[in-house]
Amino acid sequence: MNTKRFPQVLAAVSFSLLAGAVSLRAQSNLSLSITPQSISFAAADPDVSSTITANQTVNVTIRSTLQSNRNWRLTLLANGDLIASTSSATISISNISWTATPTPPFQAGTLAANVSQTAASGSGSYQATGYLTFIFKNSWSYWAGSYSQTVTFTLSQV
Amino acid sequence: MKKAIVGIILCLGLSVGGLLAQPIPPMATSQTLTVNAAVNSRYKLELSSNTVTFTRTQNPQTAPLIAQNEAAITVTVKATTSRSGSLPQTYYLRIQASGALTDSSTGNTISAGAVSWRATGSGFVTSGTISSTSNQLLGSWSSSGSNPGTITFSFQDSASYAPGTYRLTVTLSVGTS
Repeated sequence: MNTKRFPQVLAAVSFSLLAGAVSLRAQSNLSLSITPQSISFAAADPDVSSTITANQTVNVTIRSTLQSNRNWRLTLLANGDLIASTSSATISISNISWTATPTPPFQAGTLAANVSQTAASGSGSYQATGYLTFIFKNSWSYWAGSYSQTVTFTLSQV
Repeated sequence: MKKAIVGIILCLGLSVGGLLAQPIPPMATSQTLTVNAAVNSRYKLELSSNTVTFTRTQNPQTAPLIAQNEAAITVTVKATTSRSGSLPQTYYLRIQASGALTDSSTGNTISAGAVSWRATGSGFVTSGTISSTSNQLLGSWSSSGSNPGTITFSFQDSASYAPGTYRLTVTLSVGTS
């Protein structure tokens, strides 16, 4: 090989390596947005309201540009139980469930502390908004207080 | 020939580039939702009946204690109580008479202390006597939940009581005092 051509060849190899990687990244893209990013359950008499619906429906917009042979999944991960702000009282996060539309790809489920739960799944290219309605199971046995917890929505290729 | 070699290298590079991209961890994107829940303190008292009666059928000197004619009253104390750290807010079931047993036709009275109770159920005070001057403790609890029990009232008869129909209102209340 002519050594004068080496820089050109090296540049070509570097470019092509980069182009190969970038082209695959560009082919497979996932995006996720949720609105609102906070919901609330109002206090209610357990004898009157055995379940409490959240003040707002969560709109979940999924955009997938995966190839048709690639699968995607939306999971909800509760980062623990509901925790009262002024005491150590907790309420199991499993008392919160959700309903979803449209089904499929969205699906109903129940939150679990530190365990991901599937909320939607599909394959290939997809773009739509799902509507998740969260429901809290009411009970006399809870300690009074203001509770909160975060739930991580993750859209991933599987 | 050199162009061909460069072309081959380009193709090879693209392929290797693709291969290098394979080990990239699965793509994922995340959003966070904050969930808030309000649970208020509340107390509720449920009784299966709000009336009991006593009937004198025997000589009060030989049968001075008269049980209520009805079956025991089922009582359910429901509460969502608070706690500060690990210290719970205790709540109480209390009972107090509005006055004396009174025969409205004659004006005769019998002290509310003639009426006593027996109770069953976790947290209930098993027995006591009603008073018109002070709230009597009928139960106490220190955790949220539903607390079922039963109450049976008795009337302490006496030959000194004139025949008649006497009435009395007693109030059961649940709260943190």
